[in-house]
Amino acid sequence: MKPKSILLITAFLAFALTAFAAEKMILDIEIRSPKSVGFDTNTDLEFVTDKTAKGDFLSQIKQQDDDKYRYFQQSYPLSAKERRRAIIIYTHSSPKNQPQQVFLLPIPAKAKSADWTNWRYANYLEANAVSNFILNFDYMPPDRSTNIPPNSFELRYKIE
Amino acid sequence: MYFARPYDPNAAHWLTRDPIGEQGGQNLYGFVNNNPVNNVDALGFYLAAVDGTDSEKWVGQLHHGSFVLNFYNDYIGSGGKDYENGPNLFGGGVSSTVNKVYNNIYDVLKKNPKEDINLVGHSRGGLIVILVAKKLHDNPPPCTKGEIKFMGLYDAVDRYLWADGSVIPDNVDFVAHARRDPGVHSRPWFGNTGTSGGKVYMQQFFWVTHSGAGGDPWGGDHPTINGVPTITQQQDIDDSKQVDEWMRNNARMTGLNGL
Repeated sequence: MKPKSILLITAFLAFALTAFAAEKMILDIEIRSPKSVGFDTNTDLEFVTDKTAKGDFLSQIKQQDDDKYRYFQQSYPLSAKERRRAIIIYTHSSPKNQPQQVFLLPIPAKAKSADWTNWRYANYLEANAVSNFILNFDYMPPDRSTNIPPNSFELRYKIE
Repeated sequence: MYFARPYDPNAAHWLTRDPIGEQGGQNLYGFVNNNPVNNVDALGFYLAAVDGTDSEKWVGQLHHGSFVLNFYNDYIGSGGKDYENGPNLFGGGVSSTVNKVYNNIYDVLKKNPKEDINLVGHSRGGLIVILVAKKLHDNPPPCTKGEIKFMGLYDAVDRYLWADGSVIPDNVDFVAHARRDPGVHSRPWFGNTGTSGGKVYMQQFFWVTHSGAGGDPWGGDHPTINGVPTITQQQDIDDSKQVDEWMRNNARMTGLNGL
């Protein structure tokens, strides 16, 4: 085999491996809330992108406690096709359309490994947040608030 | 009745022990504080929802939002849930979405073979969930029969190129298909001759356009016959609400929560 062919094959393999690795990035998230605050079992934790949404009940997610907080951990595969991503937390309640907590995730489409971020509160509260985020439309009247109540959920994440 | 185990509403408790055992508390015959209306059981309900063609472009502009996305948002299921945008106009994404939804369900059933699986879809999203059911029928995860508890179809397309979804396999317990009335003459050119199959198949015709059946009245076509409109915008808006109500009623009847 000619050196040029070997070089081309090696370059192709490197490219393929890079592309494969990009598809395999995992987002690990952790949310916490003070133990002093009541825990509603009808709370959904959603990973929402412009393509998909994936929701789990908090009560079904791995949980750990310390003296002050209750922690929930979840992982999601990242796709390089996703243009925007968020974690959205909401409680099924009556009446419907109560504000949902939106944590925007400033992760580039082709995500790279990153260590845990600092803890932070939601970027904003919004009714119909999941629909509005997936579709990138404000098809419902904009009803956003950045007035996050104390003792709300906090989020941190890492990428591996 | 919840499908994971029988519930006696008169005695207000389950007739069998909770399958999660003592992790659910000391009372193995209890159920989320004996309040099944406001709470859900710890096991049993997973939803995959697939929207119609190009949903990411049209869903924001309508009167009702996407019925599939609204269903997803309101659905309360302890087993988790997934929403997928629809394929593009030329059908790109049908196969990949079928595989993705199938793989997600495979993982869910691998962890818990007794999980009840529910599917909803609009238009080509309906075709996709039918194809997912077929794939689960032909390739069930270990220790399962790949069963689907509820399939909600909002005017599903029954075929597209290579994909034939006209016959729903018998691993689907209950199918509710809300269809546009052929007399409306909405988008008569693409495959929608009807589906059949499943163990129980419910079908209801509505005087709506195809997009109206998915929550987007008057968003797609404005059908006519010989130049005479077959439906008004207001009719489409009003009757599409009935589509949503009918589907939610069927879902509730099957035991789904939050709708």
